[in-house]
Amino acid sequence: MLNRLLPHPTAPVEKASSVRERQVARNLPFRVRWRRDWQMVVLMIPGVVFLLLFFYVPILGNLVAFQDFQPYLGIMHSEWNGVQNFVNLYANPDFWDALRNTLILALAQLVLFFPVPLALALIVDSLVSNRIRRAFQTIAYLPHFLSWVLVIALFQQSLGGAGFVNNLLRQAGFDPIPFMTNPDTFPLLVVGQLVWKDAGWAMIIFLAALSSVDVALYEAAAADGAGRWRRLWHITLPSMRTVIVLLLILRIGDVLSVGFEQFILQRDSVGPGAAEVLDTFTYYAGVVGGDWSSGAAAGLAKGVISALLLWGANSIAHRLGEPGIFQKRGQS
Amino acid sequence: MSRRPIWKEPAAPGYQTVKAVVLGGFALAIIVPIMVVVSTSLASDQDIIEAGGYVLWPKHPTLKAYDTLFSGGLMGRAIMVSVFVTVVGTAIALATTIALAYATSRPVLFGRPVLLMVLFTLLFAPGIIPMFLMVKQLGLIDSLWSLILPGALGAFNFVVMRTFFMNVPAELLESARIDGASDFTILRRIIIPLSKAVIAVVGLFYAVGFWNAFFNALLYINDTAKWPVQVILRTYVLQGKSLSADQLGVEPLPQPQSLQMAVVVVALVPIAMVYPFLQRHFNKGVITGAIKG
Amino acid sequence: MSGFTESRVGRRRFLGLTGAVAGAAAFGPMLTSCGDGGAQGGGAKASGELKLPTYRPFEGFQPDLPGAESGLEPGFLRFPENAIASVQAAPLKNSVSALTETFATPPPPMGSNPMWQALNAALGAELRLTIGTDPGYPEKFATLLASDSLPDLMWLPPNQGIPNIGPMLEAKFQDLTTYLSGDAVLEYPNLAALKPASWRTAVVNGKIWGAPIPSTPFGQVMMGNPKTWAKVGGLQCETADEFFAKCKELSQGTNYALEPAIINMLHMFGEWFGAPTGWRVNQDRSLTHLYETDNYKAAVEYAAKLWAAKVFYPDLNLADATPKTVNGQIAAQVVVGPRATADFRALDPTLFVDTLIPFGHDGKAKPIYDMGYGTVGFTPFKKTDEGRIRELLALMNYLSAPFGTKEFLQKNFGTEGAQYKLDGQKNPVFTPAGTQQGPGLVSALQIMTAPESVIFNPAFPDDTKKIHATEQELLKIAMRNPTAGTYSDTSSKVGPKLTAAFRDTIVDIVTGRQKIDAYDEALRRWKSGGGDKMRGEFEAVLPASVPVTGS
Repeated sequence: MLNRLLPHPTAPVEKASSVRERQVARNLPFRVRWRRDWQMVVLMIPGVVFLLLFFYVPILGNLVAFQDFQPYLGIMHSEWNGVQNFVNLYANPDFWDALRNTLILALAQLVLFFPVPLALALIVDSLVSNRIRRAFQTIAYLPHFLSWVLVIALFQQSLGGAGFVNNLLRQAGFDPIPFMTNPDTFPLLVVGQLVWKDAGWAMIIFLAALSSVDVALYEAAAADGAGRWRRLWHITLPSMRTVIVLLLILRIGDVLSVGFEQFILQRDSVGPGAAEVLDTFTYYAGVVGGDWSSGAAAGLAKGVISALLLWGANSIAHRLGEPGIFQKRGQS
Repeated sequence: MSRRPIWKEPAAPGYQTVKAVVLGGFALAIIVPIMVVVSTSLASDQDIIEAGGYVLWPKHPTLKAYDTLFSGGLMGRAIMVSVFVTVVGTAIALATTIALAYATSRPVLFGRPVLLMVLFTLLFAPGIIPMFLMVKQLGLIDSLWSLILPGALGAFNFVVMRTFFMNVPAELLESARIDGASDFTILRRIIIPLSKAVIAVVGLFYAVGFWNAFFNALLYINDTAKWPVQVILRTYVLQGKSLSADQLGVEPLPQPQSLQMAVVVVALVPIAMVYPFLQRHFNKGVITGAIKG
Repeated sequence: MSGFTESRVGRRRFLGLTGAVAGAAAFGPMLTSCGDGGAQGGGAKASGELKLPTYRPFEGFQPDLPGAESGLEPGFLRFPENAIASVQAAPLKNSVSALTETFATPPPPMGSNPMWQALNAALGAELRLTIGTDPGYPEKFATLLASDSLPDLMWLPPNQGIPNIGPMLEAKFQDLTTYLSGDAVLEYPNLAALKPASWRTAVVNGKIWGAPIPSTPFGQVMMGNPKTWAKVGGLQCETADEFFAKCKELSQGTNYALEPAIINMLHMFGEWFGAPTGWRVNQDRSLTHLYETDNYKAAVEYAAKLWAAKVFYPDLNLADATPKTVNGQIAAQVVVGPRATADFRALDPTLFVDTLIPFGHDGKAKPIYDMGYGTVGFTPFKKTDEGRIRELLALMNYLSAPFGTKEFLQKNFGTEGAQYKLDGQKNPVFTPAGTQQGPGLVSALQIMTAPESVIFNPAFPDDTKKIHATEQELLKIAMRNPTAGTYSDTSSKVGPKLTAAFRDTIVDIVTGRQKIDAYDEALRRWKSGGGDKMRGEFEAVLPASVPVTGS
């Protein structure tokens, strides 16, 4: 939003291009750009070195997806087997189950989890007392720092078959409710755990965005007699549109990584029929089953689907006039 | 009570109640289990046996679990390791991220391909074995740097940071350039001072990441003296049984639950201590456009 | 992000190994369904030609209760007085690196661990251990293997899904046959004291790859708290219906009859229904897999019936049932081997739990007791020259020193006065320093090297007698996996994956998420996915000495 409000410099580029803030840079000869930008290039070096060392070189390891990889032979000496691993994957019903579960759970998270931190942030932002506000934030952020092992242990303790709630139900003469073991309601359980653990923490970015909404707009709106809900609808939400869209895109790109630990810890209680997701599938095939190549193939398939989703979401955002993650300064 | 802005009319009682119930309920749902964690870590054996597991309020509080935990020396060392990795790691990661985010936030030479390079990392994971081979090639096995360097840039944090930098008014930078400031100077004198808030947030994200990471340690660190707290957390929490079973004939150890919960508390305390300081930045409203809005 | 991994999978899978810490290691039935060790391809012939190391039992001490070839473990009521030395000279001149795993809390590192340093002094050079933990060992093993900088020794677990063991050993590790086969082993007396049954698990492709690591030869058993079971006339039953009725009566309020480890429980029920250990050997010497038998399918239906009757503890996520069995919330659980009574004693010194002796499901059928794998695998050497091989063998010889020797004390208890002291009965017990330095280290050493197992409960000599008696009861109906010590390529490659998939289905069936019809479909997939091929490979190398077990 902000950069849309900024005046566009209109002075011609040719004038003192090495001094002025960069606008249209594409047409300049390399040498001019280098002289102008070399410090920026220097600043990129650490990051680029990191990316090469810890991402791009190791990612070549994904080539094992096209091999019959054996750790004792290494990547150099394992046999190549073309797309055989992908063919096997395609023919494996467990893979499709895992994909289906992943999508169901991702959708549940997107629809049910995503709005919660936004709603919480709106409520917290509307609090007038700073003390209450701070106290709530302090509490709400805390669970983010607990590990999944512990979160699930706590859920087990309260909602499990022998947990607190079900013991109360039993004493009251009711049948226990299988919160933790019913595969049909598993997506709800997963979202519930996610809300408990991360909704508070996810507020941070929304709160940050809220605090930047131009106060003058509220004042003007209030003076015009706009009520609470109208202000929310016409000022608050539009002001936050960019951040909401950005987070949504990131979330969609990450949609196939629904959370590894959370599922592997609960796979036994609800069964793989509901809790096997792509990441656990990769783990069981690759590490537990010792079939590293199948694992890598599933991982690669996941990456490709994620890329498509991310690209798609970003395009839609662009079409709607949002910058998305490929925001270009010159555009807006 | 702080000043009520004029556009915030006093809330209707009904609306107020809904807010109170939502926030109060959410807070309680969090506090009670965490209280259980702390209480259980302080509970005596008798408390735990009576409660059949986790304890809501210890009747006979004791520090026995913590005594046992720290008697081995393992925990003390692990805390030092985790603090080192977190502090140094966060510093390095912030420096890398700020530099890269600033450089790609302007239309400069190589800016676009580098940006794509970063965003691509959101999609794939390099895999366990290739990462191990790289870490080994670099001679980092059994070095704490193996816990730091592979985490020195996060794509999400990069995106947040870059979006913020892009919203620094262009005319500000332009006038600085006309005054003869170099890109380095602009970064140091303008960008960083204007971005304290986002740096605090991203820094916290990084710190939490470093503090909570454990899997790298399992693979890259052979020397148990260099294990971070999270690995100990897993070892104790997952292996509560072997802890007590192998020490037959020795004075009885505390119940596994209280030991486990004590480890959890130890892992939790440093973060709980740090974030109120950083939280100021969220509340001050200085975060204007951390993500532009 | 993997590696958060199988908190529970790991525990279950290592149910047996956890016990190793207390000096009582054993494997569950996990192994019985997937063969390990043995020969690949033409290995059948090669295995036949291989001369196993000559067995020369250690005769330094007379156990109070005798052991036997059948697997019966010798019992010691107290630690032998005047420990004798079984090794003449310090084995090492150069330091040795090794990858192993600990099932206790990791020990303080060598630099600050006097017990470790004392061991190094006794060995003659540093023993540099890389100590992995559970979960995470297979990852660590695979990454080290791929990194091409192997330590001198790498413990090779037989049941953590490390695939293609045959070609892997050939490519990276040292063939030790000439140093150990036949009388050659006599140069290392402590290795010669390991039983042929143990050695068989260290043979792959007709070659010996390392010293085996014996654990209890007994498989899983069901144990129950006698105080709980007294209400229904005790744990022992005559028929499956009687067991069902007792379970139902015990499951009231917040108390439940059975721990929720379905696969392990199913293993017990299978024994009552006469399901074979791994494979059944038919009259014509063809094999039928456990999963293919009606007996096992009947056991699955029985388990589903129990589940429907709500006698299982309702939280499948329960990591460790032992404390709940001790306090009576759970009546019975499955553990490895009769020696596991010690785990319960550890939590409640007044409690000696009952061990259920398998019975025929209808009171007439013959039950089967599944013996375990017998070892926790072996520790192969990195390829090297003869001098180094001899040095490493001397190290294995030292670390495999039998119960009661000076070396055994050094390895398991450290130095007298520092890490251990002698109690009233002259049994070694850890001092506080020993408790701190010892368990993690001992567990790591035990998992890579061990002597033949004994029963020894220093604080409760009576337990030793009772366990010894229970073992004899179980041996009457015991069966060993007929494929033990043979090798199938397919089993090594896809066995773990197939087993996991099949188990997922039967857990679904037992817990009512799928109908029993799903069993046949899962079986079909198991067979076509590699089960049939496995059978063929095992049949081809089935040793003539294996008896027919067909019904």
